[in-house]
Amino acid sequence: MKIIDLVKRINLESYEKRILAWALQNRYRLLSLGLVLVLLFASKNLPYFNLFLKPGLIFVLVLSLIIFILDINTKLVILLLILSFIPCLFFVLIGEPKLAEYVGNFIYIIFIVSIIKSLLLDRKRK
Amino acid sequence: MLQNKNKFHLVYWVYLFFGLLFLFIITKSWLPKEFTLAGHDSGLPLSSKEFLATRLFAWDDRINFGRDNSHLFGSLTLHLVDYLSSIIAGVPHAGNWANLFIWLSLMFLASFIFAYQLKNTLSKYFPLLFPPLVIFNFYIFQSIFMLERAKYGILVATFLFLSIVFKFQERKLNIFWASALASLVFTLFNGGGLIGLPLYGSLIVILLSLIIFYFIESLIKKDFSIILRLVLFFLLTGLGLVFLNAYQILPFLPGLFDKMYLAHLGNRAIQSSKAWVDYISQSVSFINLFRLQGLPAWYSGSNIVDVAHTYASLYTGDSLMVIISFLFPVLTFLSLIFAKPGKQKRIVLFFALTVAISMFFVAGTHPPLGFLFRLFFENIPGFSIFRTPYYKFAGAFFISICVLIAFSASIFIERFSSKITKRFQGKEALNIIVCFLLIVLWFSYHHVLFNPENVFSWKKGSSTKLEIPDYVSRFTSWTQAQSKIKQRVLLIPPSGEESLSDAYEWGYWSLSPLPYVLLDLTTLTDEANLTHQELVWIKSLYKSIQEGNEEEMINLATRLGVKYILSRSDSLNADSTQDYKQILNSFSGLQKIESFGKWEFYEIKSQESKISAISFLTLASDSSSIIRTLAGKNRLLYNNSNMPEGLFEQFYDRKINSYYCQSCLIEQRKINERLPSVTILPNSPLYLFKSFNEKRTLKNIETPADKVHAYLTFVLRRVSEIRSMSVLEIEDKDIVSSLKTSKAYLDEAIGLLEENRGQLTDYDQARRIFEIIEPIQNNLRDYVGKYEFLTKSGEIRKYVFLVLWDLSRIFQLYEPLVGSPENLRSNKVYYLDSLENREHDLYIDPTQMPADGQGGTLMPRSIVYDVGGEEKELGLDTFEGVFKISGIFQKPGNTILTMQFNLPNLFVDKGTAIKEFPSGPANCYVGKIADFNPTRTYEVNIASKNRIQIVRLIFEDDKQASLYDSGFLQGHEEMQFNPTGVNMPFRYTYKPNAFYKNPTIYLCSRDLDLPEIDSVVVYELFSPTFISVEEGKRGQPSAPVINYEKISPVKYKVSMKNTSEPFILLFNERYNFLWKLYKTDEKRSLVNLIRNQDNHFIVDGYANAWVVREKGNSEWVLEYVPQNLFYIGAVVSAISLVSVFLIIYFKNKKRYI
Repeated sequence: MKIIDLVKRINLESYEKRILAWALQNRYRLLSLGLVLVLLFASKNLPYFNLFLKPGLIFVLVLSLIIFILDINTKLVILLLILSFIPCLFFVLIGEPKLAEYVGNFIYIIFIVSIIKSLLLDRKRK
Repeated sequence: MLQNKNKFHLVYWVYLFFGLLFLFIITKSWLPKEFTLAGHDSGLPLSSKEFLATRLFAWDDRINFGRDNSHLFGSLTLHLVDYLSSIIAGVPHAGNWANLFIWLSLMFLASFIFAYQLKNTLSKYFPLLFPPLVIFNFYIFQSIFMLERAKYGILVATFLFLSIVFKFQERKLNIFWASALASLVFTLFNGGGLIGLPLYGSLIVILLSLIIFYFIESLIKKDFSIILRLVLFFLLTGLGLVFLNAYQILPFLPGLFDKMYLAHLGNRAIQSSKAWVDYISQSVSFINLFRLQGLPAWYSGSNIVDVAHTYASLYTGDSLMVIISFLFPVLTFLSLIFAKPGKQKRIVLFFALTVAISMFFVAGTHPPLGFLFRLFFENIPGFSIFRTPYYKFAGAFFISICVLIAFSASIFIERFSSKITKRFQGKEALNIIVCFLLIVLWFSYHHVLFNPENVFSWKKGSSTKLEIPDYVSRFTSWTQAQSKIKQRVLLIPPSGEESLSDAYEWGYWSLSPLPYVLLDLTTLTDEANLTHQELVWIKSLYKSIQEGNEEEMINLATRLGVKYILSRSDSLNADSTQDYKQILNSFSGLQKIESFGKWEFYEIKSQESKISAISFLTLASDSSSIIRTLAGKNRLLYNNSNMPEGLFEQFYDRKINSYYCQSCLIEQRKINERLPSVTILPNSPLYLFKSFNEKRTLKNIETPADKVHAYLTFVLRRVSEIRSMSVLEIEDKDIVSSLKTSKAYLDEAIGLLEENRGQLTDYDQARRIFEIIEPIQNNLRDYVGKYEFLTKSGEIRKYVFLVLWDLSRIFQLYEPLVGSPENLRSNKVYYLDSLENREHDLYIDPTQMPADGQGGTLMPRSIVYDVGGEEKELGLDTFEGVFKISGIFQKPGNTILTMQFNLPNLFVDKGTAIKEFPSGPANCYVGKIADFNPTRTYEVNIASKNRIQIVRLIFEDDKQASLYDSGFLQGHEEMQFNPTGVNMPFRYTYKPNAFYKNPTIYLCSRDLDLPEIDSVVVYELFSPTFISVEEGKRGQPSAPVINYEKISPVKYKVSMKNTSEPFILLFNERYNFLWKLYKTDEKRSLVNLIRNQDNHFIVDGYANAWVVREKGNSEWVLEYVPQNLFYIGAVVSAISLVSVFLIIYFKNKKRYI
């Protein structure tokens, strides 16, 4: 019952408004992101590009583009990266170091992206 | 506020005092006076004073035949510290507690100075936390067992350099002052000098990070003076370093012309190091690095922990330790959240950037970015020096990640105190206690590093912490008192084939023999740094002792300048089982001088001086043992020495030539079934470049033989493309076009072969052609046999058949020369065209002849000599232990000698056995090789009518361990095959491991049924070499008497009296083009002297020799010229040092720019 009350108390309209406001505010960014992502996925099928645009790399590129184009707060990204160490720890503890390594590789790449973003964009703003 | 600041300064002073006291106590407790660190790769001398003295000379004549030291002057600073520490500790050895204390303290102080610079920006607690983190970690302590002073020195310099950079960028330091200070720092802490260049990897990463960071800053601020100022600072520092280090750079420069140095950076070195880089990088994943792990020494495979490592299992297997290890990346990442905008954020971002860049380099070739590192490794000139990426770059990683961790921890402390200070007065004291507790926690996690048993252990049960036995110390003291022992001392027992290391029962183990770091004597042994020729001579000397051949031993000892033997019965070397003591005592030409318990010292009754005159030489084609036997006591000049022939014509007393088996070239050709891999196919637009390159190559080739080779190579590539296109279902027109071109190329090649029929009698050309066309034929035959081929268009099928037909035509052209495999195996053909027109004797080394399968040597069935079509049968005699063929009379025309053999089947049937495999039991035929010799190559022929079965062929030696210590059958050499019939049996060339004693051959099925095998035949593949000896034209006049005086290891005065005829002056040290012989009154500039190569050549494959034509009495100087460059460089360095001090002194005279 308490949960239902809690859900009822959530002002969905307010959230919806905030999301819409954010989308409106960032409409050009969202459009740019959409365009870049379309180009990225299209180039996946082009000769020669298909040789290196593997799913892992595409995932990293998509994340990086989202961070850069949508200007995601670096602190938030770092916080998410810290949380990503939890599955890594889990994989190491259950004796699956390869999986931990796989997640660790993504953390490293996004870590670099965050640093570059901080150096280029965040500091410029300040 | 100021009072509070001063109060904290007192905290820092107390911290420093207790930090140093702590280091003093632990180093003292780790290394009591009676113990020393020695062995492994430490280079820690046991006589530090004497060792320091050797570093003052460009040539070290204590090691084997002498060694160039000109690149080691930079290590003077390290060895000076070694010596000073030995004085402080009151012991002769460098591996003492004081040395350990000095280096740990220097790192502690330097890291504190660095952290202190950042205290106002990061936190005042930062200087308290950072030094313990950056010193007490697995990276620093993984090499403490060998007290890696060079690495520690670079780290000290890096800490101080970063302090200077930050001060400089804050414009608190003048550019000249900063550059002078930085170059002074890197001169004092130089990482062992030029030999330690790879250790500068960490510094390179930091410089790269600085450039990227300040370049971005310049971009943002649109002020490029920031980056320009930094680059100018780097350039000035580099300039200062060049001048300050002139003492080590100048002597090294002439050596750069030596191919040996460039070979270390060349393509061959890169190729040979690739596997090693992969091995080092196999477990250096990013996740391991984030957890401050990934040390190569911890792992034996990718993510497989080495159980032999002292503590790796604890940190990778214990759940608590694993959980704690994940706190480090969390703290690292939190620093980016905690950092306040402004200066603090800048510093944190800089170190985060350094963490990211250094991780890329530290991970080496490990995925996912390893391909980039490999690209750098293979393509950037000089990058190949970083063949152990983890060890070379991890310094930058640990410095930067420890900054971030220490910063996060400091912020935690500050926030913790801000929460409770409202109610608590002793805020600072509490924070300091928390700092102390955090350090204790860090130490607790790294507790294994404080256990002296772990600290100096490099694997379980092996440590560099040793107690030198009394007899070794007594022997050292005795040799120091014996001034007459100047000639070489042979070490017994030898290191042995398998390890080339020096090990003792009291714990010493190293690739570098103990006497190098112990004695001031010239010692000789079969160690890894010898050249091939040197090793051949030393092994011959050891062999003569092992065989009890005293005459040969004396001859070789005289030739190699060996006067003494040191017998060490405490040695654990591979050959130490032999009773050398008994053999040595049986030699009458050997006299025991002194006994020191397990070490005994003998003198050989031989007369040989280091500098002598000889009047004749033997010209030899190679360094095989038969040539050395036939040369007797004569000195050898190998005819590959690239010296003008006329120079020695008057000195030859005989010439020894080799005639190699020609038919063996084709018999033992490489059988390559695979086609080369191709990436760009004919349907690609990029193929235009490939075609253009192909046409250009064909146009530029001049000789018909090379043209044939090129045509066939391009056909090979095109066939590979055709197979790839066929798999990818690319349009037929591209396949047909390629086939047409292949056909055209084959026609051209056949035309050239028919026009130049001389090629058809050339076995080497036949080998080259067969190695190309066999894989083409095999692959096209395989293609034709597939169902897929039947679906192809008629044009494709037509051209494939035409190509196959052309290939058959080439085989047919060579049919008269090559014949059948049996013919090649039984008949060994030699061309003797270069023999002079007179009667000759030919010799063969009996050890090169095949085994007869009954413990003896197989003799040829007949030897046929064909000269100009006239055949003659010859006999084989024995002469001084070698086979001799007499009566070879050379006439003009083609001369062919054929040895015919009846080869026995060496396979010894041992019945059948059911063997256990991981996939289940299987039934096997078992056999051995009769008269097995691991240095030989064997051909295994397996005939079977049943072609559809899969047979496993396994070679297993008793010596090798079974699969992962289980009972499963595991061969180091194992393969599967489908039998190819009876008339054309499956053939496998078996090259055994050099250490195998008696391998077993298994032929197994995949189940309990025996494989269907009709016959197994094992032949020995052999190619004996014929040797001819031609007597020279010159008589043998006696050589003049030479007197000499050794001034130093790099300078000798030589007196020649009453010389009348030209003669050869022999200097029995390793050849180096920088050894110069010149008359005392000759005036030559140093540059002229270095450039002059006249008359200087190699004798016996290693020693220096000069032709001297001076008559009468003359005085000469024999000198190693880099020493003079060291003196000049030392003066330049001294002047530069004074200049640097003057700049530092007058720092305030100029304002900052």
